[in-house]
Amino acid sequence: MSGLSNHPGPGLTAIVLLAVVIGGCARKPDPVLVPASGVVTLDGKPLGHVLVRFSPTERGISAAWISEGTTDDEGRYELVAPMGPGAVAGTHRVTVSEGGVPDEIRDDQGKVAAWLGKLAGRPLPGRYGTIATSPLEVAVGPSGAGVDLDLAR
Amino acid sequence: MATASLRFSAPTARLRWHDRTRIARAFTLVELLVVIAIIGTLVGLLLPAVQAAREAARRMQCSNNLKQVGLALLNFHDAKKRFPPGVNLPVGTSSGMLFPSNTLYTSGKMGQPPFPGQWGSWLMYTFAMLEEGNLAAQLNFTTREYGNCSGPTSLGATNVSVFVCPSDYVPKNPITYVTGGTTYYLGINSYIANAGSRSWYYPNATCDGVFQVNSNVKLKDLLDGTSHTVLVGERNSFEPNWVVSGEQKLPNMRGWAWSNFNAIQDVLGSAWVPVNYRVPSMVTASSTAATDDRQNAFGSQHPGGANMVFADGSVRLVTLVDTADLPVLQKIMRPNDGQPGGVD
Repeated sequence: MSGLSNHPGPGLTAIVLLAVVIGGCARKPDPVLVPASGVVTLDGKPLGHVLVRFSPTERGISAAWISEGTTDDEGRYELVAPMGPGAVAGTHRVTVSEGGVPDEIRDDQGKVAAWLGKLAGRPLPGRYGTIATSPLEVAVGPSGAGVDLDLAR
Repeated sequence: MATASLRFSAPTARLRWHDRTRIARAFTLVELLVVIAIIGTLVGLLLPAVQAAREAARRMQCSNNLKQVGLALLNFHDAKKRFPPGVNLPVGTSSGMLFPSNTLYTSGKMGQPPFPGQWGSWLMYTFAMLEEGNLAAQLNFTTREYGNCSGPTSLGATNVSVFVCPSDYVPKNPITYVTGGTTYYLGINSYIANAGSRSWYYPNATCDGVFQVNSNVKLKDLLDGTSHTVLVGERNSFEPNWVVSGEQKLPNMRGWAWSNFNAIQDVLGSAWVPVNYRVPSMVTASSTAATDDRQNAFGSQHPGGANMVFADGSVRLVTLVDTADLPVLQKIMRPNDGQPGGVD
């Protein structure tokens, strides 16, 4: 009978159960968005109207946390994700591609080609356009980052 | 008190005895309710399992559809020594053609059509190999854009069940498209062909997949190996975050008979976003960037991933739904990047 006294009491069992249940219910906290911006240049010259896209490399992050920004004429961009302004703190795979065209000429291939042709630095070097080939990998610190991207042909 | 109890005890006892026999023959309301509650609980426990079994059956049917489509593409390759073009289009400046000024043409990513003078999607070219010989024989490949789709009973409005996943969202079939005051009718497709890592909006198209406008790919071009290269996958047309005038927009952006440059949106897919990508609910539907990304995204209504048929004819449920999965997803879409992606 003395052996029974070594068994954990009902109180301890309840505490262990509670801890397991609460631990099981705990959700992974949402990623933290921090401000991120910078300048994109191609061979040293500012690259306007390109889409800069930061895809987090950490697991368990949905596409709603991918941050994008379109550069202005001086090549400046500021990142915004669907979940809010900024980029997720951590490492990112970065792509640089065409920033889209005005809606009214979208369906006209000729006008689109002419419009894109007027932009500086076109055609863009293709390897930056997709994660599979882009050499850009960038870390965004916990308090944000200025990320200048200098591309080369 | 004593007399009162005496007076009433005898009839009460008789009544009780009478009651008891009546109870033995029938249920009380409470008993009935308890039984109903228990049965209800048990059925409630069973229902999700039944629904899951039904969904599993639909997924199997979908995977069988894809198997047939994959075999049809491989048979097409046997017959013509190449895969069909993603979309076959003449080069010129008429509506729907591939414009000679298009940057994809001037850069050489898209070329002259493998079938000169014809208009057609990859789905139309596989009919002959899918025992849809009647359709293949009657379809007019020389009429531009949606010439086969002039009425609700026209050929282009035909429901081809092997192209439709039973779990897909189908509010109407055929769908309608109105342009220039005329309504066109198009039978739908749930399956989109692999156009590489990005295909729409087209100035950013990478043209590194197996299918593209005027593509002309052979099995020997799939250097990473046929078991590492996707041919065709599913698109999930259920998109509640993209609503235009009270109606979901995406279910109306498909149709196997689309044969013009914009058909890239309807019959091709790519890996720019992870599998099962949704337009984020906080983005308004007017954001063309988000909806552009959505149109060519692989995805499905099946739990966990999307079915895809690979170039070796195998069908697998691809579960690369995470942003961190994008490199692997792009590897299985890009047949000759020297990096065969592994998926189970």
